Amino acid sequence: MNPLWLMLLILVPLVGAMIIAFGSGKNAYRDALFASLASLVPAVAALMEFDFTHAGHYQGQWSVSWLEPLGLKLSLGVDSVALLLILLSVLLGPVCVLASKTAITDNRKLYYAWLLVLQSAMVGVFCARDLLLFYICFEFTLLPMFILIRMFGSTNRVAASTKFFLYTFTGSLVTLAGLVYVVKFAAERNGVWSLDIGTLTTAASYMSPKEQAWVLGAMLAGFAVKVPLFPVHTWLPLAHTEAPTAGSVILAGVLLKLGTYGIYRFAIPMAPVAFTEHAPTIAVLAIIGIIYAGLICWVQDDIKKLVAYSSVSHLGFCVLGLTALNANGLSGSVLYMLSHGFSTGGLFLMIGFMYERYHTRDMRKVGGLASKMPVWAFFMVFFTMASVGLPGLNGFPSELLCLISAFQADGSWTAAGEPGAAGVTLGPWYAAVAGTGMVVAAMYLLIMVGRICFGPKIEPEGHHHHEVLPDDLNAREIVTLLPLAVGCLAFGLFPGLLLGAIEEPVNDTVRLVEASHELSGPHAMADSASTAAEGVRP
Amino acid sequence: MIEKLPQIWPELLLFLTTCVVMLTGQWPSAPIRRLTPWLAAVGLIAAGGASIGAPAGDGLFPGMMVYAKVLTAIVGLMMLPLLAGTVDRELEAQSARGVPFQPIRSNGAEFYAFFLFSLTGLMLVSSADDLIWLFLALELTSLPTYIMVTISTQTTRSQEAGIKYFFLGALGAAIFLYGFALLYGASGTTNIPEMAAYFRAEGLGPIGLLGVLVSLIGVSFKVAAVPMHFYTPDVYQGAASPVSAMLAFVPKTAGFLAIFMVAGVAGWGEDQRLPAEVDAMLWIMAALTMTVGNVLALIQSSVKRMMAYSSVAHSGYMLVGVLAGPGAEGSPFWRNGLAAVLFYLLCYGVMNLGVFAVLASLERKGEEADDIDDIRGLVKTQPVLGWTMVICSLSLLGFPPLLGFIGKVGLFTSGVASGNIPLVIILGINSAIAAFYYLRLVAAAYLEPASDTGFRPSPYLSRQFAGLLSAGGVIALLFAGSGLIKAADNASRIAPPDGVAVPAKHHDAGHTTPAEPAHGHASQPHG
Amino acid sequence: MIADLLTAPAWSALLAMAPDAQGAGGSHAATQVAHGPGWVLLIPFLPLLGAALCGLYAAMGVKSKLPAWTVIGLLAVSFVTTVAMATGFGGADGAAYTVKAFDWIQVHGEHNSFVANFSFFVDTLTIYWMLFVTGLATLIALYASEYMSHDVGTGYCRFFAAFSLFVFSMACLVMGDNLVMLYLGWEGVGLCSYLLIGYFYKKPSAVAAAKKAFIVNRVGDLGLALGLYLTYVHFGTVEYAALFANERLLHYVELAKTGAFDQIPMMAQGIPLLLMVGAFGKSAQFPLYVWLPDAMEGPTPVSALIHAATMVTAGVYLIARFYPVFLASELALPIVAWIGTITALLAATIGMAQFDIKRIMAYSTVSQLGYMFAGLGVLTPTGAAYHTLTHAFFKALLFLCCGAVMHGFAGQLDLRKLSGLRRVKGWGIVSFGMLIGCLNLAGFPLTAGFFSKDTILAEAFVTPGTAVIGWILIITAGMTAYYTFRVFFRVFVGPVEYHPGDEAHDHDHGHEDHGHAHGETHTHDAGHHGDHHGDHFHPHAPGWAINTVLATLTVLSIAASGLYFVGAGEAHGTKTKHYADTMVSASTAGYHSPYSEHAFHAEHGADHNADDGGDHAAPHAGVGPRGTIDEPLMLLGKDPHKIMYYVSGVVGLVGIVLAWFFHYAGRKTASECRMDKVARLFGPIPRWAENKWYVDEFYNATIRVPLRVVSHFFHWFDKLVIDGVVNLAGLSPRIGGWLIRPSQSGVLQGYAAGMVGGVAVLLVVILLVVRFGGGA
Repeated sequence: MNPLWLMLLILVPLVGAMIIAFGSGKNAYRDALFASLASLVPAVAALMEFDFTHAGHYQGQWSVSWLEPLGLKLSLGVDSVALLLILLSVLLGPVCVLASKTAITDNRKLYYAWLLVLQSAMVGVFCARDLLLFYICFEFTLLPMFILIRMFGSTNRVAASTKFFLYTFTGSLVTLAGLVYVVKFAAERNGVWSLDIGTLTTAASYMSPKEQAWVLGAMLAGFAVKVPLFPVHTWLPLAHTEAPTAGSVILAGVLLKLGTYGIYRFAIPMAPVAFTEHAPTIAVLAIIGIIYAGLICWVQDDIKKLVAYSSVSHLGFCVLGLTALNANGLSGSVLYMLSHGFSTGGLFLMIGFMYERYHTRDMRKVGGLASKMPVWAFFMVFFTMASVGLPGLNGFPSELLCLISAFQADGSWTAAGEPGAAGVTLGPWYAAVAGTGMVVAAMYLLIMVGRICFGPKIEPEGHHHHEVLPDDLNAREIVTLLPLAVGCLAFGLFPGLLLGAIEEPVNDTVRLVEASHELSGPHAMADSASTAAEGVRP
Repeated sequence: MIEKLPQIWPELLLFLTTCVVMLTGQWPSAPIRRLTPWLAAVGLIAAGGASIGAPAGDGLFPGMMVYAKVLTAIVGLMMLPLLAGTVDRELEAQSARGVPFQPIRSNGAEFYAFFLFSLTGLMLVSSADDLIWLFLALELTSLPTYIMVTISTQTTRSQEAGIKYFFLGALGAAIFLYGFALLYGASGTTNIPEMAAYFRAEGLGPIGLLGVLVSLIGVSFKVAAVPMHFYTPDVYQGAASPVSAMLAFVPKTAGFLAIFMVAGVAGWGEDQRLPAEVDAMLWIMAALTMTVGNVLALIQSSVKRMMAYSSVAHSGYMLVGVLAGPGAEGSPFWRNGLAAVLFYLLCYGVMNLGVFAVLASLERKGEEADDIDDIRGLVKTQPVLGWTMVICSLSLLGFPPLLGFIGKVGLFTSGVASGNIPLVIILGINSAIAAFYYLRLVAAAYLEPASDTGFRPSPYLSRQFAGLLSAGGVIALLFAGSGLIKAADNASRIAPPDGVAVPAKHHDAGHTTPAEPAHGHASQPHG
Repeated sequence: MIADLLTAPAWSALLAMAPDAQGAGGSHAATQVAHGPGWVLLIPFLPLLGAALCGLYAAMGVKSKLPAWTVIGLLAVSFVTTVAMATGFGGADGAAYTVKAFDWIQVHGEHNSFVANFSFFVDTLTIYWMLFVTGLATLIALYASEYMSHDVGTGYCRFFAAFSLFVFSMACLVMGDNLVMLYLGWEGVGLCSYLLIGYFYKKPSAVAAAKKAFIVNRVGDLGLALGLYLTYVHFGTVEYAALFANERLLHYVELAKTGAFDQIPMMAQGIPLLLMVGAFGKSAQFPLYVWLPDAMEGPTPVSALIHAATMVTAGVYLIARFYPVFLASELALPIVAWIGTITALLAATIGMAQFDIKRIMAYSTVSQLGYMFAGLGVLTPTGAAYHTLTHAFFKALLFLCCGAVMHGFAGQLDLRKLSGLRRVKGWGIVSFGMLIGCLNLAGFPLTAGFFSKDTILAEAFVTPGTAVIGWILIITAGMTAYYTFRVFFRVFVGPVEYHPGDEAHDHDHGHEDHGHAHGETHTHDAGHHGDHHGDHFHPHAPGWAINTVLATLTVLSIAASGLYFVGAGEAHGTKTKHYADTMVSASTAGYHSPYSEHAFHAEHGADHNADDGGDHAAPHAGVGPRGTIDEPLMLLGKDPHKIMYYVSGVVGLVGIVLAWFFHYAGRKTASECRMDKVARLFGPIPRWAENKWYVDEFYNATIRVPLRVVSHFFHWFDKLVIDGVVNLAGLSPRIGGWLIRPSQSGVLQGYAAGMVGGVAVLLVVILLVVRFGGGA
């Protein structure tokens, strides 16, 4: 794969942002749409050129030294997981721009420029092969999002944006300390100061379990906040509620995934033994999140807050899959990262479209919109069903795999008789309790749809028709939704394509974790092996 | 002494310039008076150029001289445009109206001269190889600034600030002078490399230890570390912004160089750690300094006070680097805390300047902007100033990939690598606290609507230029940082002990007993 | 017996790849089952096409009956294809095959793979189920084309899209070749059920009912999902072909045969316990039955197809399909039996006290489903499947008749407000259909319902330890006959009297012109008693489509009893008694109760023994999963099946007679009858029964309200405690700042004192603590 495509993926939005920033601002929307569509070109090119038969190899590698004494390099490269996440980020670009046409009326220059910068930074996160470059992009995403919320959010935006920035920033700094520790360890071990993620990953697995535990803790401080994992989730509902629609879409679609991606890319391979050891604890937090946030959704009147909390709940499944540390779990989790944005992003768009018309998100003030906005209601129900995890739509395959993997992660139960892939023991109770999240999700989402789409029509007092927008969705809005809707269906019906694409990197990760167990001593394996012997008959 | 001459050519050049500037600054002819800053610039360039080729020094850090002097010259040059219009405004205005110039009422000459004096002092600090030299150089750095603070505005506030600064500075000087005396008493020499060699051989001993501790605390006045930080807000706020900008850089740099030397005397031992007591004290100071600085900055609405406290906090960050020390021979930059500090001083000097430049560039009836409300919506009303504020604040925040972040990475890595992980975590948390108030600056300048508070751009456009330089530096150094990082790395290397004679001081029995038995046997002088 | 099963062709095909079916390789084994003809895919995908087309019509704004005709046509083709599939299969001798549409979910790990393809599995059980699913769907679509005609336009498209999608989902459920496909269908039918119950979405009660159905089903789905996971984890595959040939499973079944349950791992025994929760949810069994009666908010064709004939039998299908897995569990089948029995009884008691005829039918559906579950539990999957089939026809018929009434009388469903419809012009076919349906449901001798119910009852008495179940079921049968004919005697015969429903009045209730009751002109008050069929209300007699469908179903219901006498054959080396038995026995549900065989031997001892070489009965006689019996089992000295013919026939007749006595004899008006006086004797009990024993209220008080309280608690906990801690942490630097701010007093002396004091404290701390305190 030509590294040019990766560079273009970063540069095209940046150039677009520049053009908008230095332009008159009159055509900001048009330019942004053009730039976001233009960045689809390198994305497609990268996809076509990517060699999926070696999906675990980093392709399109390119590197140039930046701050040489510091070891910082501009070094790019993607495996299939990163590539797919990049595609997701790029795909959401035009969606976000389209969704903002009428929602953003002031300061368009600022808005679209930062939206594009944000896209650039997200792509940077996924294709960085240099630890510091990763971190730079990872942190840089905060600023555009901060500005989007702070400038274009609703009433409580100042508090929301500040909390978003500071909360995630604080956690990330601790993560940086952990990452630096890995660098230090690797440098002492290899005798060379290197920030190359591949080199670091290889070296890191030689850390003692205790060191790994600390490093893991430090990494989680940042990544768990990003995910967000219970109990460090409180910034998310606030940020989501206050953010402009496109901001919410990106937040749910990509920014949260930076956390799970961080866990997948760094926490697991760099601290495999510690991760295995603490997987049950993390899984418990994930499960608490699933149910706790789900139940909170149930009593929300603010529809956006409801969907925001549902994100917390959903991401719990994603983390649960990661903690299972087997092929099913990691595949499911990566699939979750890819697919969650489509349904939740879709819901945020639906809410945004409604908000533009009624200027309220309070479910007590609007309801029964199906009769007035049938197309809107159709999409609302569609995305809700996707979010509920209806088979055939996007939520299902990943949720299924995540739960199965948790079930399977008890070494004693695997069919072939060998212990669970990495010796983790989560087991059926984890899956069973997490599974109740499915029921809870059905509860709150259907109640939401029931209130807002169905039943007698309620409109806010003094409601006037929108001066620009029709009662029901217009063509632009439908076009905005279509990619997400098609994505929901495609993810639901053909997840096999994606699962096949990520098979190799995922299995590499599983192998790496297993190998690290052999490195760090047999005790972990022995435990599960002995339980395995009891449970399985010849 | 004559063999030192090549080393102090920059200082001599600067001194020469000072003398010239002192004359031109009160020359009756306005055009010549206007030449003054340009002459100062020429002097700084010459001094900087001269220091590039200078031979290694004889001090504990032979390579430090070059780096520090170039750094001084660069930051000094960047500050010069900011100084314009600080003093003599009325006088110049009258002169322009045809009123004869009255040198006796003019402060221009002193102002520029003292500025250069102070920089000379800073350069001298970097080449100090003797405690006496160090003391004198430190005082040469500080004394002019007392005057500069006092004369920087016409208000009584700056006079009050000057007085406070002077008295407290004297107290600080007294403390570290006492410490120096103790060091001399313990080692029998004032030569820093010899003293270091002596302590390395003999162990610190109680007197030596006390000397190191007291000296460090005393010198930390210059860097405004807790508990010697009290003066900062009042002085920074009392002084005109250009002077505050200078205060945040010049004495701080001098202070850190001195701290390096004193800490170097105590020595980073086999395990690359300072002696336990020194380590503990610096640890406590670092943690307190960052925290106190940040929490106090957090509750300010005056940007100057905020920046004053943030300057305290940044000293705290840098102390982490001091604790980490230079690392073992040949260890890379990421382990080298001193190099990180040296590089961070550069970063701090550049980005800090920008914020003060913005404040200095906004005036309302001769009064400079100070409150955070004064910079609201600046990006819209004054794009250059606004963006300078945004970029410099973000950089101070340590936002990647800006210069402040790159600087902080060095402190981070050296802290982690030297095993001071708790302190690094404290650093991280403090950065987050700092993020809050820096973010306020960013948001106020960039995101909030402008409200007309009557502030207009200063007629001295060179101030805006200083801001532009600073913002540009924040960006440019990102790409040109490699050489500077290497230079900083070089500068922080401690002279190898070989060739330094351990002074043959004979102790009276019972006068000093080696405190640590482990060091007791190593009493033979080095060949 | 089990060993015999394994020699059968279907099984041998599966067994052929048994060596590969182990462990990691197991999931690939499915490819070794024969691939069936691709046209089988038409069965699920034509309805899907129909749904897509209806969506398209909606988008294009079609305002005709085009959606209906599209769907009817496609469903008919689908049905024909199913028939072709059935005839092509060759009955009990056919070998199961799979047809793959495309790869769906595949994860290939180092140690094991997870494979669930979008692929279909065809064996006799599939065919059996699909025949009535597609057949009934076609008929009911035709019925609905008229029934829903008041809503032509978007609503019509929406209805038929969901209807068609339902058939697709049901096909996936029944035909899927793996548990995940089944789950897809399972949730898919749930979705369609949700959409169709909530069809009149402006009606809050419909929305609530739809929501309730989905959520309660989700509880069941959770069980199913967990069962799925456990199946995969334990057996290494979710694909039927590999699963049912899995050596471990076969071993368990072998063990279960001898009652050696202690040798089967608890994990394996847990799988059916989880799967059955799913079945309880979908098939509305206690305690998850509460959604089904409410589901009657949907249009009646939906109630007939989804909530009576097909979807709700999915649970029966699931258990039948997984019968070997259920057999391997000591507790699973007894629990199924008891839950079924309890449900049957409970629903019957509620059904007796209801006044809404559609609700009565709903409770009777719950009750009959209970029968089917009891049948599964007492080791007669055949009986369960047979009852499913007969029930599908007659219950669909009953519902459609009720629907016709509702359609014609402006939504009137209260049996106290309708009477003597038989004599109203144009209602003949409806009344006759109703009569046939009621006879079936009541188990009137020689009807299809009679035979299928008998099978279950008889088996309950022969299987050891389930006689109590048998008695309860017999009592229930009597109650069923009573409440069924209560409807018939009150609504269709007796004096002519009717009051239209209120649907024409309340325009907020979704279907404005439903009932064609000329709402503009007449001022009928629904609650106004003694108001006879005035000039201004004309019942809207059913049109040709409805009548055709009703007539067809009536004929089919009658004909279904003939099934008892045809199709006997042989499956897995054992003789089967009739069509349903053959089809079920040849599939994975194939299981002949040793007890019933035993009883059968007692009756036909001689000739059967002759067939089997004379020694067949001895080794198999008394050994079965529920214990050992030493003697041929008899009921009153006879074959229990024969005995049951008489017993249940009599019980049914008694029920009918009671209904006649209390609800017909001497009744003068629609609203009053003898039963009213009798009911008073029972005090509040009838009212409790009418209020469904307050189960909804009980759930509300014990589950929903506490959960809601917990949710509110969490909400505030999140806001105050968790976010509070965060805010406090955010505030603490600020507080710190305020605390130390006084030190910055601006007073020079203070600063100096601070500095000196600071130095002193620092030095003291360092020197005392670190140096001399041993802290170094």
